[in-house]
Amino acid sequence: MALVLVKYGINHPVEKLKIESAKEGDSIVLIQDGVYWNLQDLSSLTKANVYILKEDFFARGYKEDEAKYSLIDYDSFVELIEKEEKFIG
Amino acid sequence: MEKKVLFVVYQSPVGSIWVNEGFRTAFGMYGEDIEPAVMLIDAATVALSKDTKPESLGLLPIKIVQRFIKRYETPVYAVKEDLEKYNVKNVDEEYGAQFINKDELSDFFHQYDLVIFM
Repeated sequence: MALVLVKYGINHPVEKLKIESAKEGDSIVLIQDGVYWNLQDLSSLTKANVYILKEDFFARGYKEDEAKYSLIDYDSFVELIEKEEKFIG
Repeated sequence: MEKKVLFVVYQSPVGSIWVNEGFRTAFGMYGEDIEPAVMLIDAATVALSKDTKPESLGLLPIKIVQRFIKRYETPVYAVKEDLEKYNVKNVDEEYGAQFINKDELSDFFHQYDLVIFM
């Protein structure tokens, strides 16, 4: 399975392509401005597991109850990096 | 074990350095246990046109990468739909590019250990 890293927002030319390229079982992590993808409904784009880096989400003024996807901290992010065999980002 | 790495470039070769950088980075991987490839998508696909000449604006030429592509046999890929989107007709065969349909990209990316967008 692959880790897909999304670090730019919804107007960036390739982030949608990355999200669409993710397969079921892959892990998509929204970091930096990639957290703005939380504002979109990603279920129509991917069946992968979606995570949001908590620190980047909160730093942009959002609250925990606004997250549509699982919030993870840096330690969990590192665990995902170690777990996934492949990387797209 | 040799790792397969794909560098994906999406910015225009005229006004950005990323097409050259994508190839330069790939060429720098030889000698390591890495098997690099380069993919041009979106506006970067215009690099494949014979008529694209950033040097006409005083910028870095892109065709200088071609002899290294041949020397190292670096695989080059592009997305068919993006070639059509940017009306790239006069494809320079010196790149030896292979064309992938957009709906094949997910499987294509998953063939690689690392896919780096740059």
